[in-house]
Amino acid sequence: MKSMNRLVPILISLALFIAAPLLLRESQAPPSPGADELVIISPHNETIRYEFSRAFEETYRKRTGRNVHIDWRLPGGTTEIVRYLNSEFEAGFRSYWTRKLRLPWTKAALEGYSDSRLSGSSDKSSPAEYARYAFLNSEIGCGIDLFFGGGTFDFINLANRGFLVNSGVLDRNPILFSTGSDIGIPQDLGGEPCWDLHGRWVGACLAGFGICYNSDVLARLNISSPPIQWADLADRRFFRAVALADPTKSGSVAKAYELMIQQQMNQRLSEIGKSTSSQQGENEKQAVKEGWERGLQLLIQLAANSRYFSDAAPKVPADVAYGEAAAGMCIDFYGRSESEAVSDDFGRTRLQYNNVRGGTSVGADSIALLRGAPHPETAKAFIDFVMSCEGQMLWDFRPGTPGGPIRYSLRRLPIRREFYREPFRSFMADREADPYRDAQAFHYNEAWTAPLFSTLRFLVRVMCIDSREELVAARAAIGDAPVNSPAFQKLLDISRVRYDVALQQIRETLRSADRLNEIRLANLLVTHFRNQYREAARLAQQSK
Amino acid sequence: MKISGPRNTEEGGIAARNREFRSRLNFVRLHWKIFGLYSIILAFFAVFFILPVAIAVRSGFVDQTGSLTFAYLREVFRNPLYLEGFLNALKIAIGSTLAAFLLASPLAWVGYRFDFPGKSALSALLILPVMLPPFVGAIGFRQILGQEGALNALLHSIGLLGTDRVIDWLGTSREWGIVLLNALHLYPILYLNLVASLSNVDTTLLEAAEMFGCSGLRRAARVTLPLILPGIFSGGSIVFIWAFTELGVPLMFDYYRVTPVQIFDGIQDIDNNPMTYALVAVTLAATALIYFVVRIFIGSPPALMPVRGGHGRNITAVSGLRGLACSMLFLSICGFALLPQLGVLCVSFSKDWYRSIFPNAFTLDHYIFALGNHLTVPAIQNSLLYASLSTCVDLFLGVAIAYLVTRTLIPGRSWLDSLAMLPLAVPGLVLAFGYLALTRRGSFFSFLAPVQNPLVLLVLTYAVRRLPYVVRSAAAGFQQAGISLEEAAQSVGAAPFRALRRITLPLIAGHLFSGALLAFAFAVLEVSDSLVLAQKQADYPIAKAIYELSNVLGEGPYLAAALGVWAMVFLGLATAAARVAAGRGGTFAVFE
Repeated sequence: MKSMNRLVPILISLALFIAAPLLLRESQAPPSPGADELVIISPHNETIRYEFSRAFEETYRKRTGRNVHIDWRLPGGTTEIVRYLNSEFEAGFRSYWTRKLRLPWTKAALEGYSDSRLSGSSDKSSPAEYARYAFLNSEIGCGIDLFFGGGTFDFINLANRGFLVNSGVLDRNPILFSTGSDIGIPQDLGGEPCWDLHGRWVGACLAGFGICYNSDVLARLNISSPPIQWADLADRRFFRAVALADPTKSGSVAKAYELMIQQQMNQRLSEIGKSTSSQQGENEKQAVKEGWERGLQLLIQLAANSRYFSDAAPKVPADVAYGEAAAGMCIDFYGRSESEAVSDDFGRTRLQYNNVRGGTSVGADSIALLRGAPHPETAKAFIDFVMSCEGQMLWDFRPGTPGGPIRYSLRRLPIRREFYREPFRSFMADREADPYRDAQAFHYNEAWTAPLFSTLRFLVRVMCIDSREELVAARAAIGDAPVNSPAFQKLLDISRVRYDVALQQIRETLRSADRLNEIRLANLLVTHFRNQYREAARLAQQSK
Repeated sequence: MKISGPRNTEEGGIAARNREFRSRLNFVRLHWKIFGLYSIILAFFAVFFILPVAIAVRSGFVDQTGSLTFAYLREVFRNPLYLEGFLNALKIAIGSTLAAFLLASPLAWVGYRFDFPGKSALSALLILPVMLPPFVGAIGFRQILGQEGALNALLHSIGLLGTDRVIDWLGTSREWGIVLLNALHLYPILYLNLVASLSNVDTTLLEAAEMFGCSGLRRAARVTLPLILPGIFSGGSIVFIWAFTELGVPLMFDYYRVTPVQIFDGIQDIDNNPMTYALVAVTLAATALIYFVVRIFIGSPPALMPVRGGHGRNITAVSGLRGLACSMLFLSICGFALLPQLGVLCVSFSKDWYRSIFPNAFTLDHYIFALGNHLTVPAIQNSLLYASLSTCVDLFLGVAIAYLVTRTLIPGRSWLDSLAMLPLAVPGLVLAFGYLALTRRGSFFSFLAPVQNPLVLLVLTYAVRRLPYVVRSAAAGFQQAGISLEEAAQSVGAAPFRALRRITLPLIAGHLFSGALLAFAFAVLEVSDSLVLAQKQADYPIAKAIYELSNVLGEGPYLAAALGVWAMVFLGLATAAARVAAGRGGTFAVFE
């Protein structure tokens, strides 16, 4: 009886707890039987999926008279999706190769079928070439129609491997994708491609990197002028207060670091150009070389001030908003959303976000049709919807505005250029944003750093991330010593990774088929930089 | 080959010969049943643990020509960062285990010996720290220990800290912080095992020791400690391996030079570094070795275990100052350990919480949104199904493994015991990708592919990763319960498995409950496996729904906190209901 007396209130509480979500549950119509099916794999969050599902289902019904049900597949972020697609296509091709073509499964076939360097040949004497040929001429799929969301880095890789196919969106929308047109989407925006020339993927919205900062923390650190350029974050007062994004986990972040370097090269070129204008070619070479050095030194200083390198995109603005870091490097829509989330009833906010003019590019978040899509027509209709004005309105229109989202503010920047003019602009949540204007402030020179894209990512890892403990300790020891002091100079010594060394020895090692070479080089350089930072700390202690 | 069967010591007469004949028959039956069971368990491990892990780490052992290589493995040992990370992980694991023991042992002793005011409620509160997904706990922790968090606000308000200064609690003394947080998170595991062990100690032995002049600390060291050693080993080994492979807490402190973070970092790397997979293999081997060595020293039960049963413990009711002291001991440790949970609770009701001891303004909106979201109800149903089924699998396998390890002399039982602990050391993502590869098209297990229905794979992955809790609890129970009562049952004609079912399992129900409780709670809160294997919204478990809502721009952490609190309270109430339903003094007496 005593047990029952104790059990009843617990069971009542348990029943109430279970009942709460049942009572609060929003009504949602189950998928209609016989509805057309569309399978999308995506890293997009619930808010984007909700708004696009709702709007597309409505549009599709109006246009075709049929219902459609979107089956979202969500195995994690972009990295997990790419890994999943690799695994599924490999399994699909293996099955096709051994069962339909009745050929033995070899390493050459495994590596050849998705090797973008091979053009493919019907000659069976070369298994790798034939595997590539067989794959590109097949309808092998993974049961998924579309890949929606993620930076161009991953889409370009997947397209080159042959996993993405032409959706025909360029042909169906010739004006929208006409290069040079005033109303169309440019193929290249500030050095970043916005769509694939073969129509295998197209950008659906735009995103860039900028600096977010907490004005309360800046006041506490006696920093009166907010950081507007990457170099501002190298200030000693930001010590252990800068939250940085990790370029080894995301192609988009790696691109941001590349553009940081390019900014230094551009600045150096303008300095040299002013003094001597006759030798343009030589000047450019010198500017690239010295800009590279300055850029790497800037990276070392940012890392020396860093609190961490994070691969979780929302972590940086959240930590800055709550004062864990004073400033951070973050994606624009995360910065703006967090800023709004912590604003008071009068719209005042402690978290500010700024694009870094002249120091960052604008990248496209893309959509693509996958090879062997089981529902290609519905998938093409979805791509057309996303690229249409109706679809683009969802990205940044305020909830409740005509054609806008009904529940969530997505805070993503549409890729269609007309949205940055009236009448669209007045409905947007980010009326001041204009990625096309921002992109003009930056001149991207592909020849300078594009060959070093992977190398730079590698260098950030060995110089800044893996050696971070020693780097931060050295920066603490150096304190307010001037930049020309021996200790500071030792800290910033990048002679081991000069532009010519990076372009030749390091790049060649990274391109080697044997991964051991890369691993050994990483080991060597990490040891070198850790020792260098320890030596800098020792020199700093000595001089005190 | 010697495999233990019934130890029949009856002698003389026809009846005795009949019994002996029946016993031999049982031995032969048991012999085959044991081998059958052993084979099933090994096959299960081979297919659903070793094979997927081997597939996942394969790239760490093949070179560019596809040939077997140990070069990456050698590089792991040549890499100073990995060696440093390994040493740091070891230090953190040792520190965390000792700290958890320091927290759990006084509580377990006081809880075992005394009945004090509020004991039941406080005992229930003790296990709450393990009932919250770690990434939700991190939100609460940041609100309290952050530079602009509640603790600094408190110090500002009482004048101990200037208003223009803050203390960076998370950024300084990070190793100590990790050890403390691990201990506060994991001590309930040790507590549950210690209480279960103490409850099974035969009090007549303690009384006998006292009669012979052995009392106080001497009795604790000479009599009680050896008797509860299986329980200490059971909980301690889980805490040690957990802390050794813990990812969330070091990440919370931005502490990257430690093996689990280095593995996680490598798995996420877009260049797919093969060294990472070699490092996973090294970590697994190291875990098995450490466990094996520790087991040799402290894991073996005393040669003669007392018979448990019939000699209940003497609980002393205390009130007044002594009762208050007992309550305060529980309350202070509970309160400290529940700080992240309290932080999450406040976040879930707050509009904004910044530079203040408590939230600046309160709202119910986050609960209305999170609980009303279309993801939530199906996710709750899914979680209950997945976690219940996986706990049943764990109970069956856990009892079977513990029986083989503690009750038989079957060859390889020590390795089986170590193997059963390894799932604790495998990163969830590695196992999940292994399962995906195992079930992809064209493979024998393609019918289990998670795209159509992830039920089987999720139940299996939850069961595999949570199996160590049940194995350790069951093994501790078997070791303490002794074999005499089973033998007595067999001597009067009960078949060995019947004796096990009717005599020993009821005796060790408390141990099994504690293991099953942890297995169920952690299965409900599992994130990494669910992230990869539950790909369709309709199949989401609650942990993935919480993760999804945490990604809603701006509001995400508040929504995750609201749903996290719901899950925590639900698990707490379900546990309390099970405990009370079993009745005081019944099989779940260890929780009273």
